[in-house]
Amino acid sequence: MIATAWRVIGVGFSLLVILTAALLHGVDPQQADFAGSYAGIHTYISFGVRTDDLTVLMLAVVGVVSACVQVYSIGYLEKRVASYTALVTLFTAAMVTVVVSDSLFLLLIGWEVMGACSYLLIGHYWERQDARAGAMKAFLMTRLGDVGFLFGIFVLGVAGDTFRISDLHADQMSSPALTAGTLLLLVGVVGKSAQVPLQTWLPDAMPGPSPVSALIHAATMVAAGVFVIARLFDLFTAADATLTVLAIVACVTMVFAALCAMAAVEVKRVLAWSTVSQLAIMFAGLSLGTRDGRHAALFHLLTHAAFKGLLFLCAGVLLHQVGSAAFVVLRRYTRRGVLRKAMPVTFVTMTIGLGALAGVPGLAGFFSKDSVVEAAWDHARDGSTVGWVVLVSVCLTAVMTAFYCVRLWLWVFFRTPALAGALGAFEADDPMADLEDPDTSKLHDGSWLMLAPLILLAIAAAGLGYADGVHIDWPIALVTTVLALFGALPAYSLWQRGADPRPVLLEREFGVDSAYQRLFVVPVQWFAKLAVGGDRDVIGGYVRAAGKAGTLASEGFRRLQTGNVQTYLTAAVVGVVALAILAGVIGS
Amino acid sequence: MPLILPLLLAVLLFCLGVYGVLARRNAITILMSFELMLNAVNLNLVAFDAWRLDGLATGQTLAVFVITLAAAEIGLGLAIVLLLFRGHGHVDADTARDLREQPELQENEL
Amino acid sequence: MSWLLIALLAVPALTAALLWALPAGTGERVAAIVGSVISGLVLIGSGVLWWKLVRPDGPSVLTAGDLPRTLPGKVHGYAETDVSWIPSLDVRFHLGIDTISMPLIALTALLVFLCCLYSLRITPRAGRMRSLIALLLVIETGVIGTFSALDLVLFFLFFEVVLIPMWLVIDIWGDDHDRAGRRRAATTFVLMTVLGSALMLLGFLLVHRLTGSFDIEYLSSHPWRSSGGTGLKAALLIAVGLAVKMPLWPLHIWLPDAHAKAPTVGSVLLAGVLLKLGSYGMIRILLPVLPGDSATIAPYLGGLSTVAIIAGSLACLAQTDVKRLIAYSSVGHMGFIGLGIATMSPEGLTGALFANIAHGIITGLLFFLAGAIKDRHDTSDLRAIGRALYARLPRIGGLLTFACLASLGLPGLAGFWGEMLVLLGAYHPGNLLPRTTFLVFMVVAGIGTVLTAAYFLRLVRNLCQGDPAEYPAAAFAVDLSRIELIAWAPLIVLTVFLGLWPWFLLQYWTFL
Repeated sequence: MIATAWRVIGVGFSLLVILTAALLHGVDPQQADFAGSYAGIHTYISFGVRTDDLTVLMLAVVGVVSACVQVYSIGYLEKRVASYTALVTLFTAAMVTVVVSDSLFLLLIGWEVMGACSYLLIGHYWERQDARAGAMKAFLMTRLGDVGFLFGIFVLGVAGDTFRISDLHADQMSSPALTAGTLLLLVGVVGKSAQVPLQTWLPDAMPGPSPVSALIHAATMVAAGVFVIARLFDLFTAADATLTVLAIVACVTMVFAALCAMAAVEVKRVLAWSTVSQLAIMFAGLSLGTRDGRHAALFHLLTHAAFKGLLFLCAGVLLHQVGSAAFVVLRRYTRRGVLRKAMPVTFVTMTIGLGALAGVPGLAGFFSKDSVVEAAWDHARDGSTVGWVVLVSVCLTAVMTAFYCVRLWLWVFFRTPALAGALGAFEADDPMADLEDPDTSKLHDGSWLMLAPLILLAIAAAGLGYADGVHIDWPIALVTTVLALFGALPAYSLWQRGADPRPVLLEREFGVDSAYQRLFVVPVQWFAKLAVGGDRDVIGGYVRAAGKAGTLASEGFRRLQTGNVQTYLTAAVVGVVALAILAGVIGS
Repeated sequence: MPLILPLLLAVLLFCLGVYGVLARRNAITILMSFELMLNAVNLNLVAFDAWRLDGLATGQTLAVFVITLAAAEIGLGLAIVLLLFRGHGHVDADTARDLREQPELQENEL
Repeated sequence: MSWLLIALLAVPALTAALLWALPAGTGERVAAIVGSVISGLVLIGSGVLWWKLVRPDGPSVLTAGDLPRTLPGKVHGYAETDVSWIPSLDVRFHLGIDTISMPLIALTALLVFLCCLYSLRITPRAGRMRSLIALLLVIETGVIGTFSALDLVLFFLFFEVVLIPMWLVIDIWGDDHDRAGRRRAATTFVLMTVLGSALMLLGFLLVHRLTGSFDIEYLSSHPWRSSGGTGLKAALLIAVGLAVKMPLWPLHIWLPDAHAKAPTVGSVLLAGVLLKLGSYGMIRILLPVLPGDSATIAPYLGGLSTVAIIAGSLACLAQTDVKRLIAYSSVGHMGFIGLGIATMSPEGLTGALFANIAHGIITGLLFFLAGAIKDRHDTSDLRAIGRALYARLPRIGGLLTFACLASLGLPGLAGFWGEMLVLLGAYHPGNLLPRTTFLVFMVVAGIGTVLTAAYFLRLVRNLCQGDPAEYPAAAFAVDLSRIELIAWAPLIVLTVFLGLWPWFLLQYWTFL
C-alpha cells in the first residue's frame, strides 16, 4: 500500500519535472529569491531559483531518465520497495534542486543530498558485504571532494561578495581568488563525477540496484559535476589555470577509465568505467573554454544520458533474469546462444545502446562525440596545446571505447566460434562454472514495465543525435569512424579466437584502490587507535592520577584523626602560636 | 594600678588553662581548665576596659557575654562528660577515642 | 514580561520541591505526569516569551533582516529583572534574555519536556521516578537560569545548580550493570566541572577587580578593551572554566564516561543542554566583556578546537560502544562550536550559535535512539548488539541512519548550517586574528567533517546493515513504540525544518 503510494508519487514527480521542463522551454532566463538572511556583514545567504536553457535541458534529461527508472523499478524490484522508491524520488528532487538553484548553498544542499541518497541506494542490498563497502566508499570519496567544493564556494562567494550564482561575475574577483575558487570547486566536481584521482568509488558502487546505477550514471549525481561547470562556465573560462587542470584531469581520466573498462569482466563494471570515461570526454569539451566546447559537452551529456541509462537498464534485465552480470555467468547461457533469443528486446536495445556508446555512425553517441572532437579541433587549430591534448585523448578513447563495446557485445550475446560450448577466456574466474548447465527455459524478456523504458531510451539513443540539427563535418566523421573500426576489429578477432587477454595491471585497475587503502585507510585506523589510547592512557591518566593523589593524601591525613581531643587541641595551640610568631615576623 | 599586673595575671591563668586542657586526662579537669582560659580572657577584657574608659563599657559588656557563653558551654560539656561516664564508666579523655579514624569501615569511593 | 521569565525559573523548581514533598507511594505514579505537564507549560511559556521577544512591535524590531548590527554577545536585555541582592558584594539579581539566549532556553524547555514525556512509559530500571523527574526539573531551572542570568555571580550560581542533580542522575539511574563505573563517571564529571567553575569564578572576581562590576549588561556595553595583564589572566581562567564544560580537548575526558553511563534522559540533557552552557558562556561573557584578551587567546582556542574535531572523530572511529561513540562525536561537534567562537567573526559566531541548537536537537535524538537500542538489547556494546538492525528494528534503524546523516552535517539538515558558517568564519576571521592560522584550521576542520562522515557510516554499517540470517530478530524486541515516536517526532521535524529554513534562527543573530 505504502509502496504503491510512493510509486505513484515517484512517477508523478518525474512527470512533473518533464512538464516543468516543457513549460519552461523558451521562457526568458529569469531568477527569483525566496528566502534569505544575513549571517555576517556581507554574507547574505539565500535560496534562489532560476531558469534558462541549461536548466530546461537538465530538467528534461532528469525527468525522462527518472521517469524511465521509476517505471522500470516497478517491474525490477521486489523487496523494500517503499524506502527505495522514496529515496529515488528524493534523489531526483535533489538533482532538480541542483539544476534550478541560483544559490550556491541551495546547490550544495541538492549536491550533497544526492550523495546521501546514492549512499543509501547503493547500500540498498545491505545484506551484501560489497554493497555495504561500496556505499560507504561512495559517500566518503564524494564527501572528501565536497569539502573542497564548500571551500570553493567560500572563496568565490567572498571574492564576489555574493553567493547568488547569477550575480557571480569573473570581473569582480581578483585573479588568484578566481583560480583558487574554481580549482576548489573542481575538487568537488572530480569527487562527484568520479574523475581521477577520486574515481574508484563509481565502479565499486555497482552492487546497487541497476535502475539506481542508471539514474546515477545517466542523469543525476555524476552528471551534476558537468552541470556545475557548465553553470559556472564564465568563471571557469576566466581561470586559465583551472581549465588546464581540468583538461589534464579529463584526459588522464578518459584514457585510464577506458583502459580499465577494457579489462573488466562484469557488464556493470564495464559500463561504470565507460561512464567515467565518457564524463571525462564531457569535461574535456568544457575544458576547451569555448562556447562550442560547452555546447558539445552538454550535447554529449544529453546523448550519454540516453544511451547509458539504456545500457544500465539492459544490464538490469540481465541481472534480473540471470541473477548476475558477470561475464563468466552470462557465458554459460550464451554458449548455447539462448541469451539473444530469449531476450530479443533486451538484445536489440542493448545493441543500440552499445552502438551509440561506441560511436556507430548515425546513432546519438556518434554525433555528440564528433562535436567534441570538432570543438577540440577548432580550438587546436587556433594554436592551443590544450586543444591538441584533448583531441588526441578523445580520439584514443574513441578507439578504446569501440574495443570494449564490441568486446562486451560479442562475449555476452554470441557463441564463440573458436570455442563453441566452452566458457573461453573467463573460466579462470570461476572454476565451478563448467560443472552444471543453467536452466535456460525460464529466461525471458521481463515485463512490459521494464521493456517500455528500454524501448523509449533506445529510440532516444538512436535519434537524439539529430536533435541538435544535423551538421556533419565529413573529414572528422570519417576519421572517428575509422578510429572506431580500429578499436572494433581487434575485439572481434580476439573474440573469434576465444581469447580475452587481460593485463594484470588493468585488471587491478592500476592498483589505485590498494594504494589508497595503504595510504589513507590504514593510517587513519592507526591514528584512531592512537587517539583512543591517548585519551585513555595519557589524558585520562592525568585525571586518574589527580584522583589517586587525592586519595593518597587523604590516606595520610586520616592518620591524624586519632580521636584524642587533646592531640587536636595541641595542634591547634601550636598552630596559633606559629601564626602569632609569623604575624610578628611579618609585622616587624 | 598599672595595666601590666592584671595582664600578667591573665597570662598566667591562660597558660594554666592551656596546660590543663592539653595535659590532664580527666575530662572534668579539662573543662575546668577551659573555664580558667575563659576567665583569663574576661580578666583581660575588664582590665582593658578600665584602662580605656571609653564610656561604653565595651569590655565589661563582652565579659558578661563571655560569662554567659561559658555557662552555656559548661552545661553542654558536662552533659557530654555525663554521657561519656554512662557509656564507658570513666571520664578519661585519653581512652575515649570513639571518633578516631576506623579504616576498616571506610569504603574506597574513588 | 519579566514575570514570565521568573515563572520559567520558579515553576520547575517549586514543582520539584512539591514532588519531593509528596508521599512516596503516590509520588511515583504521578511524577512523570506532573513533570510532563509542568515542563510542557514551561515549553509553552518559553514559546510565548520568544514570540514576545521577536514580535514585530517588540523590543527587537525585525523588518526584513535589518536589525542593528551589534558587537558579538552584547546584551539587549528583554524581560529584565534587576534588583539588588547582596549589596555588600555588589551582586545583583539581574535576569534578562535576548535573541542569543532565547533559542537556547526554548531548546532546554523542549528537551526537558521530551524527556519527561519519554519517562511516562520508559523508565530506568532503578525506579524512583519521583526523584528523577524532580531532578530533571531542577536541572531545567538551573539551565534556564544560566541562560538568562545577567550577573556574573548569578550566572555562576545557576551554573553550579545544574551539577549536583546531574551527578545524582548519573550515579543513581545510570548503567545498571556497572555500578562502580557509573559512580566513577559521575564523580569525574562533577569534580572536573567543579574545578572548572571554580577557575571561572576566580576569573569573574578578577573581572570585577578590573571593572568594578559583575553586571553582564553593563560590562558588555563597557568592555575591557586593553589586553594583557590581569585581563588576560581573567580571560584565561574564564575560558578554561567554560572549556571544561564545553568540553574542549584535552579537558573532555569526563564526557565519554558521563554520557555512556548516564540513563537515556540524562544523556539527552547532558549532551543537548549542559554542554551548551560552556559555549554560551564564551559567547555571552568572554567575547563581549574581554574582547582584547579574547583575541589573544582565540588562536589557541581555535587550535584546541580543531584538535578536538580531529581527535574526537578519530576516537569515534575506534569505539565499540554506541553510547560512547555518540558521546565522542559531541567532542568533535563542540570543537566546531569552539572554532566558531574563536574566529570572532560574525559568521563564525552565528555558526557557533546555530551549531549549538542543531547539536542539541540532533545529539538529543541520537542519544534517544542509542538509549532505545540499549534498552532493547540490554547492552550498548556494538559487538553484543550485533548487526542488521535494519532487519530487526527497521524503523529505529532508519531513524538512526537519519540522525547519523544529520549529525555528520548533511546539507539540508540542521547540522550543516552551523558547521558551514563556522568554516566560513574561519575563512575570514576577526580583524585582530592571524588569518593564515585560521585558514589552516579551516582546512583541518574540513578534513574533520570527512572523518565525521566516516565514523557515522561505520556505525551504520556495523549496526544497521549486515546479514539478517546471522542476527535473527529477537522476539521481545519491538520496533518503534508510540511514546518513542511522540517523543522523537519534534526533534526529527526540527532537524529537517532548521536544515531547510535556517533563517528561522539566523535572522536574529546580527553581529558586527
